[in-house]
Amino acid sequence: MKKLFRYRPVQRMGWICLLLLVWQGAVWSKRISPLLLPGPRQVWKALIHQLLDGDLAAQIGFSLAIILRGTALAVAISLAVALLSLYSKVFASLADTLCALAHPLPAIALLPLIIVWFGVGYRAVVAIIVHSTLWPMLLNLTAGLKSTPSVYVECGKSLCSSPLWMLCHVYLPSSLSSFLAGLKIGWARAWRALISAEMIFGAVASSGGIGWFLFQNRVMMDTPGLFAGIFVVAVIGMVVEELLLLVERRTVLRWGMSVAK
Amino acid sequence: MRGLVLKQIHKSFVTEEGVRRVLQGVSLTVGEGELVTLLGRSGSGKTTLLRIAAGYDFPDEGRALWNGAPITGPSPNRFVVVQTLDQLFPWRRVGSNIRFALRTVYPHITKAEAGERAAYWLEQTGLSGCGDLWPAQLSGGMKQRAALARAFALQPELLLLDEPFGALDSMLRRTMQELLLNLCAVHRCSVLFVTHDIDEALRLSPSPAFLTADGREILRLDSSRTNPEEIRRLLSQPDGEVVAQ
Repeated sequence: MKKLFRYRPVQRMGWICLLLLVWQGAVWSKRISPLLLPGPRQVWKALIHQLLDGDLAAQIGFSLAIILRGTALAVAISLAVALLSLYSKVFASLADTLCALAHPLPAIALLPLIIVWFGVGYRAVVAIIVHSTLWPMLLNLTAGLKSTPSVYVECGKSLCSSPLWMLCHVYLPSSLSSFLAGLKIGWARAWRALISAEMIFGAVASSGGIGWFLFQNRVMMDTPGLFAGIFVVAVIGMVVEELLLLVERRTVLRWGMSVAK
Repeated sequence: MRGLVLKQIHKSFVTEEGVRRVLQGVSLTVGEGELVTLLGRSGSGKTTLLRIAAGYDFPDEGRALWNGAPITGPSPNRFVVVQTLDQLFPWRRVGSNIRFALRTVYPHITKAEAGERAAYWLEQTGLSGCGDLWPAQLSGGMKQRAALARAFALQPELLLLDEPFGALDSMLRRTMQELLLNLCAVHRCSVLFVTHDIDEALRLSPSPAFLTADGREILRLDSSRTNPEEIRRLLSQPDGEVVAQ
């Protein structure tokens, strides 16, 4: 039993069960209006209902598709810029300045400008996600490429003189840990930015995403639905972070190259 | 001429305290199939000389030639093993590091051949069974031997070794030294071997080269008078006296 509690997932499940009990206790005590705090069972029912009904599932799909697209775009741009900076000092200093200016800028601060440029549709949300993800990714990737140990660079150059080969077989693998670190920060930022953007823009096209779903439930005073939505947002965030951890465990941790730890 | 020729090499580095002159007109040749051990005090510029031969650094003055042609950069023909423990690519398993290096340098080699050669050299360096491990799982000495296995497997024309046995215990040192001598004899591979261990230098070559601490000159100690005590004295004497001899 003691051994079992060493595993983090087990610990987490234990705490969650305890929190659920406290929650249920609070509901049973009848001190809080069920309109403000519905019971776990009600929320569970709302969740199942919304998932089966198809509305929530569709919204999840919509949000994930949009965030994937934005993140992919940001990864592509940051890779291109980081590589150019690796070979050109002028470009590196430009990218560095842009990063310093744009990195601390919250996506929400850019919102008015993005609305003017991209309207309030799908493209605006993608633009916000790209902004949230691009700069932390670029910062980390540039740092990673720049700090490739000279032993690997020299050994690589002894094996092959082609710059493309060096890139694929030395620089990129060597900076994977920084890339993953950037991706983690980028993902966390993008996920937050997405939910807020969806709430502000409301339904674009046929679907509005999870943010819109939450907002709608608030307007309709459907608190069980609201809780169900928040639960889904939390779970998706957690699952993606675990997936990134899994990738880390299978690569940089085995290589003894992790930035953290 | 075939082999390595370093002629009147000057090299200085700009540091925060000013210009540091490391090599000041040093010449050294390593003929085809020859094994030259290079002794010298710490900081005398042994590694700088080796890096120039590798094509990692370039002399400020003087000429560095390989088989008669100027050295313009690194090449798999002149492969380097350094003292640093982490030379294998950590993102490849030990065996894959060797196979990958082989297939990069010799594109015509088949996967099976590369595998055989990698296995052979891992066995020779006492690492059979370690091929599927990650470099991070090896001890310091094992990493060093794996780096040597990679270099030996590549069979370069010139091996540039910078205190490559530093992390090994005396038994393994002996084994690696034999392996190196054997490689030289069989494959006619030239070797420039930097060390500060006098016994090791003498075991590998009867007439070690000695780089003076001012980086001005290389003395070839002739075999008749290379008893370790004398060299030890040389290493500890002020340089003026060394040059005077």
